[in-house]
Amino acid sequence: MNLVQQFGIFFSNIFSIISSPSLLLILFGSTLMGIIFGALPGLTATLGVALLTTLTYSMSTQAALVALMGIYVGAVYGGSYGSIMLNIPGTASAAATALEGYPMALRGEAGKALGLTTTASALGTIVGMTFVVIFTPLIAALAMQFTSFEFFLLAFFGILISGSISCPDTVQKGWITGFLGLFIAMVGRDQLQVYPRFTLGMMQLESGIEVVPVLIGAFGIPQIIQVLKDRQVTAEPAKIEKIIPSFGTIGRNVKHIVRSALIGVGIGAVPGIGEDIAAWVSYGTAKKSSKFPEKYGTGFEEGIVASEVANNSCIGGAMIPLLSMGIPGSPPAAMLLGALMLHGVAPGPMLEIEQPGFTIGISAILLLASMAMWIVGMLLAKQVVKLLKVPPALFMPVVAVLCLIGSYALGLKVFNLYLMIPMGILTYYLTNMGYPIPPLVIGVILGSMADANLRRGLMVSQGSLAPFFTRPVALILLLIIVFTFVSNTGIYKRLLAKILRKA
Amino acid sequence: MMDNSKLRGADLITSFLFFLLGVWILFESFKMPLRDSYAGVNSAWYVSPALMPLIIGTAIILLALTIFVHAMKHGGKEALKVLWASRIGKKLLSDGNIRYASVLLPLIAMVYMNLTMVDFFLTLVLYLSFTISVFYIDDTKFMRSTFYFYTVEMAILLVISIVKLDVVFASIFTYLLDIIALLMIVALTIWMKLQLRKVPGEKVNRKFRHAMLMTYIAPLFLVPIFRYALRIPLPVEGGIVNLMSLVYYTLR
Repeated sequence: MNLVQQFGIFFSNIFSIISSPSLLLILFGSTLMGIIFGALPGLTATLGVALLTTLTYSMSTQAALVALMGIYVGAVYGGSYGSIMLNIPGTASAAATALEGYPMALRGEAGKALGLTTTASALGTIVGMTFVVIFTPLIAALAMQFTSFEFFLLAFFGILISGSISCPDTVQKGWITGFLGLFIAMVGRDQLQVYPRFTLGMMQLESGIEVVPVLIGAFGIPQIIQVLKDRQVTAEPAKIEKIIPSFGTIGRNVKHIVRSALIGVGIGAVPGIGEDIAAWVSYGTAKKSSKFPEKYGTGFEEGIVASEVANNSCIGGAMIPLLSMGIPGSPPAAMLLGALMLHGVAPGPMLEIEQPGFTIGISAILLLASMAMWIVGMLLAKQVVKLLKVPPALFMPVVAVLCLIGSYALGLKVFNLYLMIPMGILTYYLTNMGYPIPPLVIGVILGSMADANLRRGLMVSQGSLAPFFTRPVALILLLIIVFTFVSNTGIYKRLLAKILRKA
Repeated sequence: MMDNSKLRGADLITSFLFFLLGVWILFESFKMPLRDSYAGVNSAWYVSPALMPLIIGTAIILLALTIFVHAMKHGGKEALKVLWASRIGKKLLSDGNIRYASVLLPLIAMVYMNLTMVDFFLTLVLYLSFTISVFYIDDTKFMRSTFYFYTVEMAILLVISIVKLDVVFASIFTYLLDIIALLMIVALTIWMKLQLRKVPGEKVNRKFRHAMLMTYIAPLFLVPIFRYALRIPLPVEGGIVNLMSLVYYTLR
């Protein structure tokens, strides 16, 4: 497909959406819903995508994607409302924004801060979208050269890297939850010999554990338990006057925007690493490289730009491995993968062959979602801020009901709910004890791919492990895995410290 | 996340549990066909369904051991004592535990019992009326007394479910269990209303009204959306859902 054809598909996608009143309604409605989900403390972008997945079941794939991307983009941006107005981040990805946004609100500049986050988030999403267009086909073309060995190693790499980066405590905790996810994926009849594994004699487990209920259980239930268990104090939002788009401030911060967008896309592209880490890394980098680091934490515009551009550009970054290799770049992207599979779309290297123009279609939706987000943000911010007064106790039980119906509706199996609850309780305890959940989710999603590809590869090589070392990409992946593993051991750290001391 | 004084103690427990899981995975994996034939297919080790579980089991055991060793090196024993001491003095029915149980019990009762027994609309109302009210009003005494009342109601439903009385009820009158659930909702509402008198503050009655409003509005929206717009058959379509269907199809 040449460049002109790609532009043609891009604009025809945009035109088909903006010329359809129902799609426009879905776009603006889901974006607004996303903003509300992001703004309300306790609700997350992942939960938003999870709950909306059920409602998109009967929609066309295009309409479903418009709805899901709208809520994803809106929720990541919406997190800044709580940060700025209450000093309580609506989502983890907006925690860095609170450091600068709330002091601005206290100075009576809440409207300016909200305008700045709206414009910065829209720009971040657009930059992320550009990277999706450029890099997805390149990585997909590279992935076409992959054999079973590379796909097996890629799954392992995803778990290890996600465990290493997302773990708040020792990395081993991140890795072990990844392996726990892999184990969950092993339950049921295996793909090659149809042998029942870990089914405990239960018929319902023979077809395996469905991904979407596991994801809803892992991300929804712990959130509900946590929010209801902790006594919530509803704070009064700061006063807000006029929302100012802050184009001038954006113009003065082009350098920060470019750097933050690159950080966001880069971190987003790493499997399982979400918008929160992108925002913190970008904020930290901006502070370190700033001419006025002492102004950070006092309501400095640069800080808001850094975190908001990064968390929204992370969306595009997370879409790159998802579309090119079928590996989600962030927890909401993992949910999106489940939704795509429900609609008969199998992300991966074959995606562009099976559904030409799909990636460009997603990019067009991302662009429109960022525009819808900007318009809704500018027009309805004051109304959304009023919702911050609603105590979580009023809506969290309804969210629990939505999780329940959502899990049930995807397959009409009550058994899915029986699994969802223990999964939720397990992840609640694991999170409390410093075990990260993204590697577990990556493990559940990539488990069957890792299993089937390892055995298929070994079948072709007649049990020889040589292709791991003779195939260049496999060798590189293997070396990265070994390095990731070794670099986290005590011996390596001590050795490195010794060398650095000598140097 | 748990604070550091207890975290390493908890690590000892979780690593031990993970270790047991790893051992069980290996134990189960060795039962799978490794070299012999399965369903007429000659298996080799590299195509065995046990291959990946063996890797996973081994990895979990090794990682559990490293977490255990790390915890022991960083004051795990002392942290375990702190953790134990913090639990030992705590009453089973402490305010914290009641609050936690108030989150979990309705959720568990709804999923594992009511959902497959009682009309879907009533299941949701039963769950929401308790959960929204106790957490929105957020008074310790109110929560405790309502929790006890709700537990008794759920215990009655559990007995009905265990001794299969629901089948007997259905043979007498199809919607008899729904009527019982409806009576339980009414009783719970009256109980909460009575308990509210003991709750200090001017706004509690208004809060209770809001909670009740939310309790009924949410299912009134959700049930028709899922049943009629998305055409999803609900787990149990009893008295209320069938009444809704009657109205919907008559109007349609």
